[in-house]
Amino acid sequence: MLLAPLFWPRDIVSLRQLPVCLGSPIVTAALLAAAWQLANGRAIPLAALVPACVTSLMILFVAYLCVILAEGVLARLGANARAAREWAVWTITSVLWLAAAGPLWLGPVADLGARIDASTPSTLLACSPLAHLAVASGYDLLRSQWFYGHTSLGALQVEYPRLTTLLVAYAGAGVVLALLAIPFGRRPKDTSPVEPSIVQEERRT
Amino acid sequence: MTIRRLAVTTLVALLACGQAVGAADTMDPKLRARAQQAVDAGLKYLEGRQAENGSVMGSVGLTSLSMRAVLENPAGHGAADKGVVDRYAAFIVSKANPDGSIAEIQHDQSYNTAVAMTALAAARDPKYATVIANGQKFIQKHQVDETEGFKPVDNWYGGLGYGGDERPDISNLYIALEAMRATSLDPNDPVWKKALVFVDRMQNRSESNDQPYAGNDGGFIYSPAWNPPEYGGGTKSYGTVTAAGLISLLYSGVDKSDPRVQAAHKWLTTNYTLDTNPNTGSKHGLFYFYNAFAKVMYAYGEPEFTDGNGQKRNWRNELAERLIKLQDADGSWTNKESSLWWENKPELATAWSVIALEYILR
Repeated sequence: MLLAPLFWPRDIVSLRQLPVCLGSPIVTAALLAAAWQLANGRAIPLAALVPACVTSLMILFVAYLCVILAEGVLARLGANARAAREWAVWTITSVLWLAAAGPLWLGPVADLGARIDASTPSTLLACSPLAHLAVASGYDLLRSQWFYGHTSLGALQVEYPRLTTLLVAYAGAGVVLALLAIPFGRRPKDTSPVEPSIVQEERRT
Repeated sequence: MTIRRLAVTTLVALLACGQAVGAADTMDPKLRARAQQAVDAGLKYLEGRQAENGSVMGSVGLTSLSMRAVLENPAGHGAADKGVVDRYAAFIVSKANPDGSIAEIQHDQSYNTAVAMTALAAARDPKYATVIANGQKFIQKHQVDETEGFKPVDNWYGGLGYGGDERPDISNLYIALEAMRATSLDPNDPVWKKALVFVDRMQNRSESNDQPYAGNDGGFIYSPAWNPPEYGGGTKSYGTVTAAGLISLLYSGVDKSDPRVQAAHKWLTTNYTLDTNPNTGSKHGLFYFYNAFAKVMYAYGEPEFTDGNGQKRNWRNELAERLIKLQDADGSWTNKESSLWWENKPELATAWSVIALEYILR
C-alpha cells in the first residue's frame, strides 16, 4: 500500500483518472488479504477489513494529491515534465515510508520527549500512516511481536488516534489538497525528448 | 487441674504465635509501623488523584490498581474510603464491554480486564459477579489455544498477550492468572493446564521446556525465544519475568516442592537485588519487580532466604526499607530513571508500591 505512489501512472492527464489510481491498490490489498486468509486459515473479520480499506483509500487519495501538487510545483519551478513527475513520485513515496516507519525510528525520540510532555509518543504515533491502518483494522501494532521487539514505543504510554478523527483529518486534508491541486490537474504534454529504445537502435544498425 | 489447663492454654497460645511468626511478624516492629505509615500516605496520595468520574487518569488499569490498594490495606478500610471505592468501582463497571472485556481503549484489553477483575473481587460485593464472570469468559476466550488455530506443539499455546490476539508473554499471563485466582475460577478449568504449557516454555530449564532456546538457569524469559530490547533481547533470564513466572507456577497449582518452582526460586534468590531489575543492570520495570517480588515471596511462604553470596535475607524487612526510602514527601512513588511501562507515572508506581507493602504486612 505504501508503495502505491510508485505506481502512479506516468501518463495520467487529469484528476478524473484519480479514482482508477485509487481503486487498483485497494483491490490489490483486498486480494492480498484474501490470500493471507487462505494461507493461514484464519478469517479476517469484515468489521476490520472495511474500515481498513476506507482508511487505505483516504491515505492514497491524500498521497496522490500530494504527488500532483509536488509535480505541479516542480514544473512551475522549471523542471521538465518527466523529471518533475519522477521527483514528485519518489519524494512522496519516501515521505510516506518515513512517516509509516516513524514508530520504529522515532522510538528513542518518543522516550526522551515523554519525559518532557507525556503526549509526545502519542503525537508521533499519530503521524504514521501505518498506525492509521492499524487503528482501522483494530490491530495493536506496537504490541505485535516484531514492533515490541524492535522499538521502545510499545512500552511507553501511548494512545492510538481515534478512527473517526483520522477519517475526518484525511477528508479535510483531501479537500484542501484537491483545491490546491486543481490548477495542476491538467498536465502539459510531455515534451522532453524520448530516448530511442534498444530495439530501435538495433533496427538502425 | 488448673495448672494443667493453664499449661494447655499456654501451649495453644505459643502454637498460635508460632504460626504468626511465619508471616509479617518476622518484621522489625518499628519497621512494620513505618511500612503501615507509608501505605497510609500512599493511599492518601492515590485517593487524591481520583477524578470526578471516579477514575484515575481515565484509565481502567490505574483505577483498578488504586481500588485494590485501598481494599487490601491490612489496617482495613473505613467508612471514609467507601465513597472513594464505590466511585472507583462505578467507573470500572462503566467500562465493561459486551464482549466481557473491561477496558476504556481498543488495545490492552486482556491486561485491563484482568486488573479490573482482581479489584472488583477484592470488593467482595455480589453486585459485581456478572461483570467478573464475563471478564473470566473474555480471558478464557483470548487465551491462545485451539480456537485460534493453535495446537499444544505451538510455542504460543496457552499464553496471553496485551489484547488477546497478539503475541503472548509471561507478564500478561501472570496478571490474568492472578485475576482468575482472585475471582475463584475453578481449579479444574482448562485455563490452568493450558497456561502451564506456556509457563513451562518460558522457563530456562530444558528438563521441563521442550523449546530449542531453553537454557538451564531456572529463570524465565518474556516471550517464546525473545526478551524486549530494553533488556537486551535474547533469551537471558531476568528478574521481573522470573517473579511473574514463579507466581504463575504457584497460582496454577504447582507444588512448592516441584523442581520447576525450586529452580525459579533459586534463580530469584541467587540473583537477588533491589537496586535494579535483576540480571538486566537497568531500572526499567523496577516497581513492577518490587510488586511481583512481594507477591511471589508471600506466595512461596518463607520469611527468609539465602542469596547468591550465602547471606540470609529477610525479604519483608529489606523490601519495606527500600520502598520507604524511595517514597516521596507527598506519599507517592515514581521511577525517576525510567519512563517505560508507565513507571514514571506516580499513579502507577504508587499503586504497585502500596500493594507490595500490603503483601509485606500480611
